[in-house]
Amino acid sequence: MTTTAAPPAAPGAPAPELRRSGARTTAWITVMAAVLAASITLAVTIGSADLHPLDVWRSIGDHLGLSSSSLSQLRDGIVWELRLPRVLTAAAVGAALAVCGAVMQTLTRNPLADPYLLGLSSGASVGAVAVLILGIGRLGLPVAAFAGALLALLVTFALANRRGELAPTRTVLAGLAVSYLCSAATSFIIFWSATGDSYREILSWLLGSLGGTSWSDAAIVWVAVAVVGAVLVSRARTLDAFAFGDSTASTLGINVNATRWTLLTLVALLTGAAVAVSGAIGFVGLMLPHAVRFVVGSGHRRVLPLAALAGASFMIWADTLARTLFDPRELPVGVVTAFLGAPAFAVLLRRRRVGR
Amino acid sequence: MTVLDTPVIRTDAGSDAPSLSVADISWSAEGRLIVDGVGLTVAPGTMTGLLGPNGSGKSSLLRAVAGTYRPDGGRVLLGGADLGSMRRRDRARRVAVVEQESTTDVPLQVLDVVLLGRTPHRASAADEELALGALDTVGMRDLADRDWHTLSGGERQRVHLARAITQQPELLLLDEPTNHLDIHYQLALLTFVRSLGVTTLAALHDLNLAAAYCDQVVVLAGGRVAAAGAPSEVLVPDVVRSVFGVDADIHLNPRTGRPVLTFSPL
Repeated sequence: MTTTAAPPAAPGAPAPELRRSGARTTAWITVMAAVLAASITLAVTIGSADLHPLDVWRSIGDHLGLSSSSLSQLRDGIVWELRLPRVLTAAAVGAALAVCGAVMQTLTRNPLADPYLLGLSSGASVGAVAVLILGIGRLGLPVAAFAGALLALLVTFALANRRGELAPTRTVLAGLAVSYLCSAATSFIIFWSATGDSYREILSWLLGSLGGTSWSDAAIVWVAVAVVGAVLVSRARTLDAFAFGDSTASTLGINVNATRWTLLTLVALLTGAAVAVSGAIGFVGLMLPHAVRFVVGSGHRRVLPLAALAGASFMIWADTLARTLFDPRELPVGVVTAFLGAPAFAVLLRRRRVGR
Repeated sequence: MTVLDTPVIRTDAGSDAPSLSVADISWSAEGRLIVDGVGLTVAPGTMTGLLGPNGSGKSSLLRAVAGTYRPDGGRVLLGGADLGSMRRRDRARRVAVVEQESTTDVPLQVLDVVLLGRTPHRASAADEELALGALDTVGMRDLADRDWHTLSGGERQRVHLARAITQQPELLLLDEPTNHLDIHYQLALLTFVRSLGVTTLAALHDLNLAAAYCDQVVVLAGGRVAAAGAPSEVLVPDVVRSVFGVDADIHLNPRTGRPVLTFSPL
């Protein structure tokens, strides 16, 4: 990163080259998109069965009717049925959580905000698990997860609110309380109803798992990311205006409360879609937005697309580690993200600016 | 920057500026009346200082005028248009506000902050030029790519002023803009504001700054107008004693002929 020091103030000197220039952002987006494409390709080849990166594209080409290669049915099956849906789901979940975290941090002016820490993910888990038990079916799952996330958000804010203000630390504590309650509820429901391996089931909802994800899972999260992400990017300037707080945003022409609740509802929707297919995965939404802001500044037109791309690649590799580290046993992916994310959380916590 | 030039310079830029007329504004919080039927008028392109002890309702009145607070009663007219019935965004195109020590946690460059002033307007390719011009006005163009968090308090206030200028307002509302600034920046900031020729209402703590820079002062006490008029008429010992509870002696600034007050306990 080029943190250009202030040049000596010479009157009439040309304006210094600005970090915010569009070319720089375009370059970053291009690089991160290439990293994502490479990550998808490579992650599919990793695991048992010796696959070549080209096999991945052959299989994709065959299924899209663009080519007809002599890829064996077994290999094609591993790529198309087993690994590609999982890798693509991981990418979409990572993108969704990173975008959710970025928007929540802005709207609550809280650097510690993310769907996991404020209880949305756990709330979504309860909703999803309840629907699974009732057997309403696959489409009810994201809807129930959304409802759970929204409810958890409302309770967290109600607990944290004091005289209309959401102090960062109090908000995180409120989120923690909601999160514990929802995790307990999730565990209870599963334990009460399950006949088989309930511990494994509980773990995958509380710590996240992308095991056994299908094309329909991938579709749910990709559609959610594309639609909600597009709406959020279209509101980038509005999000920027929150930087100096509610009252400044208001004098810039923003209807602060209506905007906040509309956009947080969208965040709950996106969280619900992600949790419905992967369980509650922590720290992705916390870390990635900060990392992206560190590189390109805070403008949401830059931050949101880059956070999505970075989150997607990050989650692909976290999940690849989760499924290969103790092969054939699988680690919940949330364990990997927590190992990487908890130190980042600690650093943020120690920074004076978080305060109160 | 030549801030010590004689501060009272009339510019003719304000010739097509609208006047502000506040009529019978009231606002209460938690059942307590904070602003109690205030009325005042600011002539086009002039600067009015809002004075008064702590808790007299200066900031609340500014917020009611800005529309941040919805007043319980009364009207705010800018050039004849009712600000209270306007859509928030339309109002933000006409009224810019600089608040006390407003800051942020996120990494932002100076130019990013100034560009926030374009939020209520349609995005345009000329925005950046406009923002750089505003930074020029406050003498900070060379700091356009500096990180906000590296700026001093005085520089931050000037950036906020540049942001407000970039908003291209017809009315500028300032809440204690010189708070915590050293004397150099206090004079510099108010000189910049005056040179804009925009109709301005500013809450000020320092009676001498108000006397030196304002065309008119309005003194609030207990949410009501205690006195209003030209600084030399309003800032007299009787008013200062009854509103602030101190004795005052009035002198004349030998350079500007404006009143200078010195204070003694009663």
